[in-house]
Amino acid sequence: MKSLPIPIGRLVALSLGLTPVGCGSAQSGDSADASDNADIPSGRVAFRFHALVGGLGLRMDGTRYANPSGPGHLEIRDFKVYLSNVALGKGTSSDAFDEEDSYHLARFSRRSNTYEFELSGVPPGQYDTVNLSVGVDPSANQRLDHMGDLDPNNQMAWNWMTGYKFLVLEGTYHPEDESSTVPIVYHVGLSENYKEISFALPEMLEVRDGTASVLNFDVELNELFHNPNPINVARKPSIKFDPTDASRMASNYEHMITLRGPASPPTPAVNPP
Amino acid sequence: MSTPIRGGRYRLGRASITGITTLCALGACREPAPRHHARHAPGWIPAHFPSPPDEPLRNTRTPAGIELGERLFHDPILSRSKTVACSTCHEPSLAFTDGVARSTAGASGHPLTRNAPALTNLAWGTAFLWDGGARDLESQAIGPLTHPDERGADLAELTHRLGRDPSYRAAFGEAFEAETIESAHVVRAIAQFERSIVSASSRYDRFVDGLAELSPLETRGRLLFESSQCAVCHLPPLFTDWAFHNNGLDESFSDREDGVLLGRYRITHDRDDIGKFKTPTLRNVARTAPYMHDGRIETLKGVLDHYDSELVDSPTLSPILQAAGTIGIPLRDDEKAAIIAFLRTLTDDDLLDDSAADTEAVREHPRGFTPQ
Repeated sequence: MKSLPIPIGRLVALSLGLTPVGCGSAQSGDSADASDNADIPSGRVAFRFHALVGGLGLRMDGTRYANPSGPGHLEIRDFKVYLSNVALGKGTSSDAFDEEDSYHLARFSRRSNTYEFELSGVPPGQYDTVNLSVGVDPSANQRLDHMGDLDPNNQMAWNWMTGYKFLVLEGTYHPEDESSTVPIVYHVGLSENYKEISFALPEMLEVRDGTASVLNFDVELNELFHNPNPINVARKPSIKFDPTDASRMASNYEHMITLRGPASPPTPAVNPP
Repeated sequence: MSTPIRGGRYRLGRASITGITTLCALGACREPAPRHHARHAPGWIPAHFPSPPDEPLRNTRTPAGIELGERLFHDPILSRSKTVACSTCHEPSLAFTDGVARSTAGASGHPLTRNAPALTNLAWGTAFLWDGGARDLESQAIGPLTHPDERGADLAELTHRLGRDPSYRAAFGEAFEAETIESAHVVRAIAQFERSIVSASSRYDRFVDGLAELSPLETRGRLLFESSQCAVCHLPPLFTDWAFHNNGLDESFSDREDGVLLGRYRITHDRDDIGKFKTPTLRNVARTAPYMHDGRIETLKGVLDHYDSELVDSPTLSPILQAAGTIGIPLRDDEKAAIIAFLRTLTDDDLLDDSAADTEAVREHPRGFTPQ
């Protein structure tokens, strides 16, 4: 399990400066872990993603949310998204630190609406940008015999066409008159919908030897339905393989993730258990 | 029951991987080297075949990988119910098909949407499944493994299951130097085995090599085949162009069933691809009935009748099938009989018999033979 179960109630109480450092088990099993070599100075940076609807923590307990682009309500039961090719930039170098085999399946559940992974082996220094992508890059997306988070056993691979679902959002649409419910199935993939996102850090991210910092990101689900392309759940409860529909939602998920603020200050590394 | 001969044959088949000549020189052979052991020889290309595309660097064939793939291919452990193997629908003696139009042998018992294709000469393939949706054999294998109407396997449970079997742990270790068995290893082994199934030993092949004669009727059929539109799509020597065509089966193509009836369009979303399906190879075609992507035509005569006079027009109908100034390929009955006689020369008895014998050996001795 990569995600940390954090009770929904606590989310509101978390303030940036006091964010506790995540456990050290979050790094990808595939990534080269330079911190194995104690001689090379390196720090760690945790990436923590908070799934939100209308600014409040996503709940998958039957909570109904207003349809962001039309009438009725929606209930969300499953939300997963691939976050990949994570890099830290410094000045003119946008990839001063590149995570290897950088594929993270962010899974959100009824138990936890946060997901976290950690970059390890980050060379000490000051970083001013964070780059990550939504989806799976075209090179990795043209085959399925991957390991780690891309293992098809995560049920994110299509079985009829080579490629991954980049984003899965499933649930139920409830019309205003409660006449009949409609399943919501958004499976957005296709290589052209791989979106690279760059975040300028409001303050330098200082990485020091043996320390860990945390970057917090909001993942706002309402953005999926109106920015920049309005998608009315009532009319379009399902997107599976129509490339036009998929591309419209992908243009929206490009804007779904925002950086919450400066990184929490580095704290001394905790001893691994 | 395993007879000594069959056991010997099985060992011999494996020995051919590592160098049959050496072993024979040492007197280890009980039988003369089989003329046909091509499917166990990575990298072997029949002289009259084109060069295949490079196999993926991440999964180059090894004897251990091919052997593991063959075992997995026949093992029903690869299904949720432990009752359905790859070979349930890809029976070696039927050129790796199943003899039915749309199988109901899968985990759910629901009829599949398409006919099980022959699995020969896949090393030359460029896209897999009837609509070409799978980009390589490794990725293709995920589909039938997990589809609820095929084997319905949960890949995490499947690899766990395999990992509990010491003989599989050893085989995966040998093939992939893997400490834990991953789904990627499973599909890579299966792909290695599939790439090793080479059909190039039919009577037609011996004719091409100057080692056999065709009868006058077969010769007439060959000339008709090669000079008509047949050979444009069913291009010798592989008897497929690996491309997608609408061959006039339907007037319209429904978007029901998640687009599975739309053919290549389902993958490309190009309207020009509506109703197009991949050209199947005609190698071993006498053994692969019924025909077409949904198995709707039962006999070779029925197929030729279709091309002669039963084609229906639609916007994407192949221009190749309109080249005669009319829709279809006009053929008289005696011409059809000659073409069918020729098509029967494409049956590769060596491959099918060897495969059937190997299959029996693998099924009887799934853990392989340990040299005494």
